[in-house]
Amino acid sequence: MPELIVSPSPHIRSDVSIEKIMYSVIIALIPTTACGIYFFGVHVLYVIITCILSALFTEYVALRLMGRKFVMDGSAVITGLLLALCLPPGLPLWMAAIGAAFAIAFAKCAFGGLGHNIFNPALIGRAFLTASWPVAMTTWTKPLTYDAITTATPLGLWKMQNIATPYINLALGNVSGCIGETSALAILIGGVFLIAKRYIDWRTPVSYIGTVAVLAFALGQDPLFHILAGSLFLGAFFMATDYVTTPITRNGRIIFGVGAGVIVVVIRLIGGYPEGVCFSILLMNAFTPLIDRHVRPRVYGVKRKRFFVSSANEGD
Amino acid sequence: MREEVKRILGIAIPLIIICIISGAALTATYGLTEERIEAVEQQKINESLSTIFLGASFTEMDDYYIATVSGEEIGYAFIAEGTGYGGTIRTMVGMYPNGTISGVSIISQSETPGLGTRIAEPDFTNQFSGKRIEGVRLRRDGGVIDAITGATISSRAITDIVRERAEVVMNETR
Amino acid sequence: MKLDELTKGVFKQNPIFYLVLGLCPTLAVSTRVDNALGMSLGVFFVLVCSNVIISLFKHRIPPQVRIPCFIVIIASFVTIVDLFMHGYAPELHERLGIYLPLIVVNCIILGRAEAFASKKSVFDSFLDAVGMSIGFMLAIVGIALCRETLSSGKIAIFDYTIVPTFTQSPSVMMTLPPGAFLTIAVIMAMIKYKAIRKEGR
Repeated sequence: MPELIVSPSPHIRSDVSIEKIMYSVIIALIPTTACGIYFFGVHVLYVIITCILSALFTEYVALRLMGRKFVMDGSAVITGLLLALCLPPGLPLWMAAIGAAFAIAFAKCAFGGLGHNIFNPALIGRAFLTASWPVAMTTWTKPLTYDAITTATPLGLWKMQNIATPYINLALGNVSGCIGETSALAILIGGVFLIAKRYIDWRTPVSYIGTVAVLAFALGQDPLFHILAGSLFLGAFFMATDYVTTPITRNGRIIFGVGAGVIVVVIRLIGGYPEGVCFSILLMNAFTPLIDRHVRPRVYGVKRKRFFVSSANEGD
Repeated sequence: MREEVKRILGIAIPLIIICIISGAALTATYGLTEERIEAVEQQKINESLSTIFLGASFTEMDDYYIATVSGEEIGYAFIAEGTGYGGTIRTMVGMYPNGTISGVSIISQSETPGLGTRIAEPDFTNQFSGKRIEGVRLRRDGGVIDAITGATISSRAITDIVRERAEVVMNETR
Repeated sequence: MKLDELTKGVFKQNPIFYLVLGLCPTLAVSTRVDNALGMSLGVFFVLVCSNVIISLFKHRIPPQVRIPCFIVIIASFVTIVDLFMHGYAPELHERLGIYLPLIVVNCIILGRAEAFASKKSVFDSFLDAVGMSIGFMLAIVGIALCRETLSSGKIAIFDYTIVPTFTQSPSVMMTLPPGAFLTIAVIMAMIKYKAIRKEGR
């Protein structure tokens, strides 16, 4: 037993634990999940359960292989749930299971487990499924029909046929799309809950959604449509705010949000895909270490010199 | 000075000899395989030609073929190629003298498997048959061709490739 | 002793999984088993010929220009393979496409010429080339088998079905380069995992 523990800051421990945050996030996702089940039927529930079970099982196996103990910290549950929420409602269950297993095994455990992953595991799972089964991943069910009538998403309709969807449908979620992306209102409720509890920083979603709105407006698009349609809200509140894969500083988070917003607009307006939220967050995940390196919090008591610290005189 | 020349020659001569031997070996191989390769290439073109105008015989012009059935000119066939989503798309196109496409077949392509590769399927290529050159555009670009879901870029690429080349051939044959 | 030169390329110094050489053709043509076999045959021919020729003339090639000499020799054999394949196996030639001429820059071949053939005897170089080629073939065909199985939903080699279609919706990604990266990573991880377990005991 060491008598004196020397450790770097922070030294103050709060009662906020990983488990507590993780389960708050799950609570915040309940309205969204409920909306998904209401609009797309019971198959959605099976997809969600499959993803969570597959994620937990994969985490258990991977940690055993790595010779570590399995801890039920809720992070695998969140990965599974978030992945399920950004999948099409009618996706075959075995694909959902493979996606969740891939997300945990390759995006999380291969990098060393919770806290070491560079990319958001749920989004890696989604990107993997999109690359593997592009047809199944772009087959969208019509809401409230429950019998797998396929339609295009609001963004798809806008991009391919130039048809706008009414705002009220986009806000409530009565449109086709991923399980958890359709109802902007339900996501907003969960997001505000997390912000009020101070578990997530308001800067990321605000800068992210704000950038999309401003840029869409500047480029002659309908800004309200662009922020309500697609998975922008889901991504902004629940994925761009992930602790592990996004910047730790306030300014860093704003840079992250603005960068992701620019990428979303570029992909939607110029790219081949109708939606770019998944890729925008993954791309900004890759920039996170760089942002964290150059955007440092001011050390208490030291006079602020410059906003950006150049790497040459960084001294580490 | 002589030492220097000797040193340089000592380096250069072996390299030159290797190059000469290599060149000779390649010339010999080329001579051996030339006929065979030409036959293979010609056969590829013939195969795709015969799918465009069934039972016709073809006369090669500068950059297109004239298809004739029992001495009568029924149309033109030509190769149209351009860049798709994943690389070069090479197609064989048949056109009637009045500017209507008779058929399109894909010779080679390297689009995304399962999505873009569906441009080579008859369901897609059959759409071209009987369409006027001007109409060979995707529906959302004001034409009459339905794009493949999820492969708009590949679909647009092939319609552009076919239309642009067809317009050139149309002008040449007029 | 001599046998060692042959077997080291197959297992202990497998060019793909241990030396991590020649990844570019491995990524590109391991989509199908028959493509992978065709590629391995091309590499086999070029590697054996170049290793033997270079070893044969190793004392005549001035060290200052040895790399140009190696490249000329290797490129000649590659072009010979390319021409013959174009004439006699046109389908395979078309599928291998640009990767066939690119055997020239396959690191395995120049690597073996520089590291082995230019120093060792002709017979040893021959054995080395054969061993390395077999190692390359086993690796690339193994990767191709994984990828083709997952990307076509069945196992069929040369139209001979071994396992009938088990899924109607196979993974498109396995035909793309990321699929190759993943397959190589998983196989490498398994090899490393076994090695670590062995060391630990």
